[in-house]
Amino acid sequence: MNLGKLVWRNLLRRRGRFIFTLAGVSVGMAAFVALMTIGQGLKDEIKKQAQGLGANLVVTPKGWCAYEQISVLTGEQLPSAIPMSELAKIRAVPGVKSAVPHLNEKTAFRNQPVLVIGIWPEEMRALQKWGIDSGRYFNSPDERGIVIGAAIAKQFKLRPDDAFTVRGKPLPIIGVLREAGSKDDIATFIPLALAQQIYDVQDKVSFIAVQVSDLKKMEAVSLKIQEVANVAVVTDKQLVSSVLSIVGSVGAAMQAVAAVGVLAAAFGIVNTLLTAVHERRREIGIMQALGSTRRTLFLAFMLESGLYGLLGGILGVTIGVLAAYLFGSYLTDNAFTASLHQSQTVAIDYGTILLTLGFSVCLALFAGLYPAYRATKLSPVEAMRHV
Amino acid sequence: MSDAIIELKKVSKTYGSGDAETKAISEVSMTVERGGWVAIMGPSGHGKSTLLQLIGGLDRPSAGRIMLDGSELGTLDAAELAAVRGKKIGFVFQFFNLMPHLTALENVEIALWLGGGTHSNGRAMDLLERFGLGDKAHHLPSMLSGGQQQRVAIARALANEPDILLMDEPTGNLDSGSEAELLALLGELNKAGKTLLMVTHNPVVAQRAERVLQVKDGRIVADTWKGKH
Repeated sequence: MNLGKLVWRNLLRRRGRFIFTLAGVSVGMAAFVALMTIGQGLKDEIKKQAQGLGANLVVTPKGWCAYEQISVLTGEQLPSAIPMSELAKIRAVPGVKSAVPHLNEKTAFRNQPVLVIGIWPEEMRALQKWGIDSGRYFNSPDERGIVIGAAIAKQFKLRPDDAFTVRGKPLPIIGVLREAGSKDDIATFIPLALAQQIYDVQDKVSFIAVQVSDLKKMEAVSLKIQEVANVAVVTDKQLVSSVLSIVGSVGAAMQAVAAVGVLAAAFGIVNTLLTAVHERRREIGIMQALGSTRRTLFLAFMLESGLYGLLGGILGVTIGVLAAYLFGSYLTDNAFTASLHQSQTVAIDYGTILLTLGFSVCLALFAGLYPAYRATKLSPVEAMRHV
Repeated sequence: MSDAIIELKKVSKTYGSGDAETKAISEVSMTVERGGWVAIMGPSGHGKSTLLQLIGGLDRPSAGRIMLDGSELGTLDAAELAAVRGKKIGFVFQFFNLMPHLTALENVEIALWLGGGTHSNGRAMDLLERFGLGDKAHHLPSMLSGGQQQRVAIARALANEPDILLMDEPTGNLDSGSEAELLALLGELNKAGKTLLMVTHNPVVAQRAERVLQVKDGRIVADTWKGKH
């Protein structure tokens, strides 16, 4: 007999109570790990999408809020508000290596919404370094045809030379892009001029992706653009942080829910152990009569509590990771994540898992302090009086 | 004074304070010789069990001194007192007080562990076999008869080879057959040199002791020597 064996036997004595307390800890920790995982995955994904844009600066119409800026990353339909004349001015600013206009629109294909982005084929390909999966790329800047993302091709089972329609206008599919892991997979691309004609937004674009020739002069170029053209400019980093500020605020509300769950789990442990101390007060007296020190009693209850934390943490991590995969996309349902595959919002790293386990054990030990203290305060005579 | 293993000097125990103060034990002085067998008798609620608890270091007196095998309990801190309970004393209770979720064997092993002795776990099995419980070692207390449970309790009390056995109504819940068995066992232990101190209501049981103390109103009112059987 030793401390570990005694504690294990005590832990499993009341199976029902053990299971329900453990379930409480597991659920609390699962909520914690799921949110950590989903939140982190979301951040990673936003950064990846921002990189996928290939721009150092993003030129937007004046007065855009963060919600509209998200659309730059997702390709959502936008009010097309920058006149082409401004584009020319921006291209003329010294230090601008390239300025690539985007016109984000949407069409229905077989009753499904599909992103249609108007681009300058050559400039865009230089910016994105796209690969071609099948078919070919645009031959000329005003070719009547469409290049589609890999996921779209898969979804609608489309191949080069198949017919596609944008707003009712038939367009042949020229080629399919290689999978890029970004929103480009779920978009389609047509030459800008064609897009402007089809959507009847002559001479306007949604936003402009700008590359600067010298990163150190980014700030100066940004100011100069705003000086010569009637537009707003954000850096890629500002774009990411303003997007994060929105999805981040959704996260804070959910983290509060997780915190409540974790707290309830801790109270569950306190409750279970206080009940155990009460139930076992007679045994506590017997143990003292057999020579047990208060320290041993204290350790026994702390260890029991710690085991709830450890086992609950392990179960919680397992459940939480599964839940993150299954429900991640629903929990973080917003303008940004709507454009992603659900698994892309989930990122599991061992740091999070270890952090959760450590947190779970520490929390359980903290919850065990009071019951363990109560156990040591029982006098053996008092304890054994209860028959 | 010849070899006294237990010695009480003007020991009092009061509960409560002010008007509600009750004296469970008042100014008891007594000695028990090493190897003695003493029965404590008296009406319920007159302090017999309290006396046993004070001697066993389960409780501390309000006044007076208790010497146990040369050390004064009052000078010991909680951990030292726990060590005395674990090594020098074996307790046996009326209701056996076995741990209900541990097997007979584990109930003895837990005493070996908590008493902090150097015995191996093999001793637990040896003790159970000695008391005819070898085949019941892996039974839970609820599967054992009263007599068997009490023998497990005695095996547990003896785990760390204490010099003194303190027993509170050890036969109180036993049928007459088990009672006779237990008394025979106690006789053997006493012959082997253990000092036995037992509280009992039963004159037949008290008869087996070499000395009977009568306790009333927290005082020793009679001290009868019968000598060794």
